[in-house]
Amino acid sequence: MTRTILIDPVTRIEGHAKISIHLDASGAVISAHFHVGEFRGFEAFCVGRPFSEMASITARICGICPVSHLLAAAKTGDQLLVVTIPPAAERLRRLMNLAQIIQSHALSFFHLSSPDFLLGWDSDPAQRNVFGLIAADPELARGGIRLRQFGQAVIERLGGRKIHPAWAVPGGVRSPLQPADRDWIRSRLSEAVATTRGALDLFKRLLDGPLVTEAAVFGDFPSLFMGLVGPDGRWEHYGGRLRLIDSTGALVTAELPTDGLSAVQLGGLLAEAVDPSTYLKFPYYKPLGPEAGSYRVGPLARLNVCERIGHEQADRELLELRQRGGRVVTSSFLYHLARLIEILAALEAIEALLDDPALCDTHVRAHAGVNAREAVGVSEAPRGTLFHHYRVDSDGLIEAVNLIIATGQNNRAMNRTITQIARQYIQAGPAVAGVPEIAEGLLNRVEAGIRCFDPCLSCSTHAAGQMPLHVQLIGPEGELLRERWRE
Amino acid sequence: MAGVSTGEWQRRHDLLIGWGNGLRQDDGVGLLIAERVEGWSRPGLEVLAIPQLTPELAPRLAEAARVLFVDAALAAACPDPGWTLAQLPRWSPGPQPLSHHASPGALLQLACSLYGRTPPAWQLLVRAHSFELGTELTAATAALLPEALAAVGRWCGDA
Repeated sequence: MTRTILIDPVTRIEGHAKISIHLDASGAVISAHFHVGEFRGFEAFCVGRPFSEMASITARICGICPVSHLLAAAKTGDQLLVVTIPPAAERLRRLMNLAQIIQSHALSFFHLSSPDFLLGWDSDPAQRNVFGLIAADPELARGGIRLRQFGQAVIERLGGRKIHPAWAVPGGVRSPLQPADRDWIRSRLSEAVATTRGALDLFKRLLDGPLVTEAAVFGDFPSLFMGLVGPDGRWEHYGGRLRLIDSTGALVTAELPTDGLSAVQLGGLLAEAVDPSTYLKFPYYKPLGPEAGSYRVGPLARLNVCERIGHEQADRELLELRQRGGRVVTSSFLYHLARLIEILAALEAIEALLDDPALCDTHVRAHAGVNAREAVGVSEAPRGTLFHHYRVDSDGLIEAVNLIIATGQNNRAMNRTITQIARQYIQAGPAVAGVPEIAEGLLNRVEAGIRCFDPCLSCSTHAAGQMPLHVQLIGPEGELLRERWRE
Repeated sequence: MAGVSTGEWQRRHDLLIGWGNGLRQDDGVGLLIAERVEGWSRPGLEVLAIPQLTPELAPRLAEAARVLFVDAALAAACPDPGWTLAQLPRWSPGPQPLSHHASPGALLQLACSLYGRTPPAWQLLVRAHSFELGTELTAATAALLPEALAAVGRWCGDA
């Protein structure tokens, strides 16, 4: 008969989820699945609100990446107003997004994932956390905190002290950057770069040594990759064009400009599949269908789709990444390295922005009424491409909202990753009564496959209408042994 | 942090952190209390109203004279009269869960582990009656606000 192993909850990710691993009668892994049991339903909550409130509402969806929703909502609002925002406003939004990428990636690498790398996959789980990391390498732990503090401080100086700054608004931003704040940011850059460089050197040494197997079997498979690119195919996080490539690097479809991306274009590009076993949807490239059209987003995807980053130190690291993994890197484990490279890129991009005399201009907002009834806003969240799609009435009240979230777009890739890991490690274990004995360290590797994607479930769990959670236990002949629905 | 002079110690401020989700009805009571207390403009008291406790708060904790965490809680953690204000242990046994967000105990551990100091800390819990989508408190939780705010006032040193 088939057996199912549950890992519940998955630790060191945002939100509550479980993984099921399905074994056949011989104990071999058939497949593994990531299930999200939280339902948020924020899209329905937004209906009837003025579109001008969407930035502040959606920023409160998630305490982890509020800036991402703030910017996507503001950009969607720009499209509803049909305005071009002032140059300083675009630079300031970019600055905030770069700070968001830094603080989010820093926590993912330094505090959520590095305990596995530095303390070992099979180390005592009671110690395999940030406190164990502090004991083993307090400087690294402190550096991670300082890096995250830096990112948060930049966000605070731009948007106010609170984590959910309603600072980016349709048409621009509410307030300009003060020269004193610009100078403070500049004064902290060199320390942040040094911390990042140290982490990069450490992680590359680990990749060449104790982590060489993980890089090969943690979700290494061909897939599509999607992300934004700027002029000349440069690394992009805020605007530019939407690019979708395959594992050979070939364009899958013509690039789409994000400014003025229409609902019709988005609908032709992406569709969303649902599965009753999870609240997390499965977006895919529509013309190829749910399987062949599945794609990855996030730091690794952004580095795969771009031609170059456009900043000296980060470009050297990108070249090394490609020497390590090919022009298109397919190992999900290298999301961790991509995260560090993006931190470096973000720090260099901030330095370049600070040198721009237009950054502190005081004209930061364009004003207009509702000039369009439907719009799509796109930006890059730390975890990947984020789409907001609103339809409004003539008074600007929201009639319909759809949010396509990075974690959902990586859903199928997460399932493939944990299936590959489970097949590699669980089959290799000793068997008891025909079922492999599962050591805790092996289960940790499966969980770590999910952590490669740094999923955040706060905003990613939504569905079209009500979708109850459905759990089924299936026997070897396909018979239904048990099922349970949760409303 | 060891060896702080008396004068430096006196310059430390108290820190009140109210947290929760303002889109989930009574889950936002910690935020609301923090916002009300911020309106008192009390010297020597820093107030944060945030959605989650995050690890980078650890250095701010380590620098504070005292800390008060304010949060919503289910009835089981919050018996009659519907709110409770209690001092937290300086060190919780065992590692506390920590990811992009943390518990008060994890933050206190982090402050001690990384910066060598844990401030005396208290937690005010206010009973929540609903966590459904909504920006308003339920009437039952709203009715607890005056007493909860008075408790904060006493913590701050009001007669």
